[in-house]
Amino acid sequence: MVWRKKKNISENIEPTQNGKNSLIVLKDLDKVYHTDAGDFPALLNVDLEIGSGEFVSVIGKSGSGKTTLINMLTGIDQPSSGEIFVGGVAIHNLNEGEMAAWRGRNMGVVFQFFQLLPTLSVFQNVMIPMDFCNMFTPAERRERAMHLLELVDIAEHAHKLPSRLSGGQQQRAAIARALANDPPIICTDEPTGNLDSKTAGQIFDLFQQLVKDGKTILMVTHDDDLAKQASRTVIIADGEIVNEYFANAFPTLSHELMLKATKKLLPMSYAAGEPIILQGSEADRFYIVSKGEVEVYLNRPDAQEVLVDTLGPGQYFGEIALLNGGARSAMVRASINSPIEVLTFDKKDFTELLGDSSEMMEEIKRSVNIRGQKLAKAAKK
Amino acid sequence: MDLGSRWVKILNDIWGNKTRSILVILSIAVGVGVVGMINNGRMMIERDLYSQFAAGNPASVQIYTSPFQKDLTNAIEDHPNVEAVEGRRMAGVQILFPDEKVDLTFVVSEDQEKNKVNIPAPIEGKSTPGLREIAVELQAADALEINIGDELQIEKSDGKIISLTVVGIINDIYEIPYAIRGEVFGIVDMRTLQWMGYQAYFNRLDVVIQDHNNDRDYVLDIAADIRDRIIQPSGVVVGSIQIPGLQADPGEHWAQNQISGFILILQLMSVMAIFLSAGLVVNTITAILTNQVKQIGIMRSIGAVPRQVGGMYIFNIFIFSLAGLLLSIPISWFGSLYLTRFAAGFLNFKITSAGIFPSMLILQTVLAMIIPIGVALWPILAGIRISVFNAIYQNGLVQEGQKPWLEKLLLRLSFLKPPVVLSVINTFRNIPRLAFTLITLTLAGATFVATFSTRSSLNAQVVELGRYLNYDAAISVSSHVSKFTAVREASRIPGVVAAEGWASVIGLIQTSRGEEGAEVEITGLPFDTIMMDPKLEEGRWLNDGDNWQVVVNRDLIQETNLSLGDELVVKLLNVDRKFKIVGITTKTIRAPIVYINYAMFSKITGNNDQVNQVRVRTDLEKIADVETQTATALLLEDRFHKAGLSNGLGQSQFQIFGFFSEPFDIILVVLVIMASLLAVVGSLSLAGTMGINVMERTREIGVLRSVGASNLSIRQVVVVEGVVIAVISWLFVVVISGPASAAMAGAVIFAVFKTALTFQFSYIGLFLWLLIVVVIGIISSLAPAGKAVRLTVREVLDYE
Repeated sequence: MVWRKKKNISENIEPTQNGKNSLIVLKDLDKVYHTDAGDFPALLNVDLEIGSGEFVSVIGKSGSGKTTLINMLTGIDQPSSGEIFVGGVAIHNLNEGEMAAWRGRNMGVVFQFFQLLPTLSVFQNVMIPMDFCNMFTPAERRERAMHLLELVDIAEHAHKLPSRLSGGQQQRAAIARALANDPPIICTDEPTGNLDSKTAGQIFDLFQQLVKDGKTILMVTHDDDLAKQASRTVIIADGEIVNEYFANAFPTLSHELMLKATKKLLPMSYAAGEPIILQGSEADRFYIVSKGEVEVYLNRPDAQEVLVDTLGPGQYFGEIALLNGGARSAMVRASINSPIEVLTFDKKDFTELLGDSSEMMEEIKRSVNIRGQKLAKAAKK
Repeated sequence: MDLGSRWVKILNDIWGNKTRSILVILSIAVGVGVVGMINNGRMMIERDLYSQFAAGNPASVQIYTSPFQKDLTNAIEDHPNVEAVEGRRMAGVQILFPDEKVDLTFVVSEDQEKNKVNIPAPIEGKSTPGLREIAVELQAADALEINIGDELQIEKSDGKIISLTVVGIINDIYEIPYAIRGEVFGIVDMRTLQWMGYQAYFNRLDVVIQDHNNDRDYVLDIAADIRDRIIQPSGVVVGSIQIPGLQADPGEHWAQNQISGFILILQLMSVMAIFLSAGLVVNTITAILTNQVKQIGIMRSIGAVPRQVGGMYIFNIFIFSLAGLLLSIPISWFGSLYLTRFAAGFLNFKITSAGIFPSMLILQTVLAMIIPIGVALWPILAGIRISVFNAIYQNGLVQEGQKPWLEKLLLRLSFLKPPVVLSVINTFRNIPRLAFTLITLTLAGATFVATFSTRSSLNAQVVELGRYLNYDAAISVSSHVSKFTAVREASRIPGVVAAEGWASVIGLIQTSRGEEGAEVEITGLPFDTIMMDPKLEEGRWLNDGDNWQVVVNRDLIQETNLSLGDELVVKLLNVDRKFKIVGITTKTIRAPIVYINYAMFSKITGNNDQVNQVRVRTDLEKIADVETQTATALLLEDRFHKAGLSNGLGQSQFQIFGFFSEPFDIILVVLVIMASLLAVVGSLSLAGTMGINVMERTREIGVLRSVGASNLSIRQVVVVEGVVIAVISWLFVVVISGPASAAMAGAVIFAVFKTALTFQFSYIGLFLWLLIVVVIGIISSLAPAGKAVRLTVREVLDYE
């Protein structure tokens, strides 16, 4: 079905100034709450980019700053410093009135407690954003509202008051309302937090369908299992974003350790085909691929180079010699197809992290074991 | 019709909160309706009363004389400053009813069909009765159920009874009506009067002065000129020259000052009502916005700009205003009709049509539309300015800012139980809201106390008046009765232990420039009278042997600017008499009076020891109770009638008091009603405030619940806060009720008597209000306290 809009809001979403095709860009974002008891930093140096069509889950412990992060993004709250670009619009510069109008057209917000207006029917709740934003003709609004309620499977409850619906039905209605003005982005804060697991699953399926239809979804949740089903997970701890590649590499680590590690990571880049580790050299660093691919070669005594493994973003290397001691057991170089970027720890930090986390030690030992077997197998070929 | 969702939301909100919506609509309707009622009533009264009054060519001045014939009026009509003159005969008789007698005054004109001045309006039947016929005044006819065709049994002063047929009902707006004076006016033909045995003559001149006929001094000057140049040279004696009415100016309705004063007081009350109504609107709108802060945040989060949200709530007020306006119209319609009917019944005029004047409709529309929106704009702007973040996440959490005074207060209250401390602290958490509630309650309280003080002042005035009416019963006696006869007859009445004969005559004060000034009543009485207990402000009372020494009241001093010891010159029966002022009594609510020893009075008036009035006492020590007074008055009347000494009514002191206090009672009833309304508005305001407070503190209540607060404790926290607010308002009442009471009592007394009299503050009123306001505090807090008790911990703390 084609809806006639009074403005083509998709035009608002443009590539960011840095040329990347990121829909949402958060730069060096800080949020400090000033209270009588003193300043409380809720977000610190947050940098985040989200591409169009991504389904990003934001997870973190209670009080970690995930709701603050989404509030910054939706313009519900203002950052203390830093910049937020959404579709090229510097929303941190918008005043409350401009923000409300912009948000109404470009961002659907779904709250944990549904937040439907209690004195309006479900149908009217879906109609009201179109009314506020002057979107569509009145007839189209009615048609669209019913269509959205059908989409979320509660059309038969359209003319009931929210209080007569179950939690799951209310959340579906809230999602329909968020979609009313056909915004490209949906931001949702704990959308399943107040629902049973079955209903939560249905709501999540709905989000996945919306992503397939081209929406970009940012979902705050405390449910790790649900978060894993999103296309991307952003972890936030103590107001700071955990490095996603590190988190992917060591998902079982506590968020605090992830954050600790994030702070020690050193980004490095290599040209296509450039060696990163030379076999036999001294082991001084641990690497996690953040962009591109690296290739692991074994130089056999017969001088033949054997490709042992290819590693992509979120995969690590350089741990064997660091754990076992001795020289590097293989060579690692950037793929010849493209330059690569890696995140590295020095030996001291790596050892310290392993000392702090038995889970990481176990993970590394398991990896060393598997990779040792791979190398032995390659050496025999 | 496709109504936008946002407007549907507002309509649903209004419908969904019926009690609150009705409260706001009623507030607007009552405030605007009261303004409409009073002003529309005023306009109806002005239209009908004053137009009907003016239509009959009201007399500028009335001259009471000895008998005269028609040729005198013709002569006066030729006076260059006279527009019209009407000679009238006033004769007093009584109507006999099966169980009572009522005074009837015959009014006889030269030619009833060609009345020129004070023309009565025909209502029903004949307005020009023929021989043995009478036309009765409308109000008395209604009250006494006199109908056309009835035969009235009339008792003359000589005891003879004759019968007159009622042939018409007329409306005489110029005489003080039956409802006030208790006297019937009836029009008869001069032939009927002659048939009854009276001589044919006139004794009153109703004169309309040309030009400047509203100028009291000018009118009196012309009247004096008529007296000196026409009346007295013709041999007719002038008894008195009076401007008709109760301190009214010439050409004005006899109660115009009182009506204007009363309406002014009502208008002030209406301003207060609209002020309180506006305040209640603010309070309720604040409550609505407080309740909807989160919804405002949600709407903002889905695209509503502040202008749109503001527009929604202005639309909300608009609906309230519209409903309030529509409801105010019947209030003002029926209210003004009731007020006008009340006035018409009291003042004896006809209501020509009921309805709301277009100008009043416009005023009500403007008030209903502008005031609520105007006063609600601030809370609306404050409500929509709140950030989306605060609206969504901070709602329900009242964050205390840095308030060092609060910490100090907490320290000082540390001896109290924590729930009580919480109540006291809660009272001061929202100062603007507290201020409004206090203003409302304080105004209501001050009005209440002022009403009581007005009543107290009037009582004090009546007690003061009582000093000059220090007798049980009195009766007017016929002109030929001697003092000796009158006192003897009165003394023979069983129970009477003392009787005095008094006499009075009207004189003219001669100014220092030798001009004639105001009229003065010269009263001759025994120097050792016990029928009066004068309160002397200066000098002494009369002594035995005083001749030209007189005592005067403060009214005379104010009129003449004379002082104790000065010489007072009064023209008495065309002779200038010089008196020496030896004493000054307090103000009375009457005109200037000169008290003189009866013997000297008799000598200078040449009245041959005759008296006008007899006063009696049944106990030398004190005034008797009402029953004894009434019985004595009846005995006095019976004996004097039988002895042919009087045709008047015996009057008890209580009856005289009633005449003075009755108009006040009506005013006081209205004031008490208004004060009660204000108290209701005040309690609604307090209930609203407590409701908002509870709403704002739901989380706090949840916390109290979670740490074990019982239902009683929760109720206590809320109710004690209500009582604390009530008591604080009472303390403000203590401060302002003094001046407010003095102002109101002064205004009411001045409105009726055109003079400032004794003020007495009512401590009973003040402490009664303390009791009432504490009860209001408790009752107003009970519903919010009940709501607080019903909140569960889960509801309050699990939310979000």
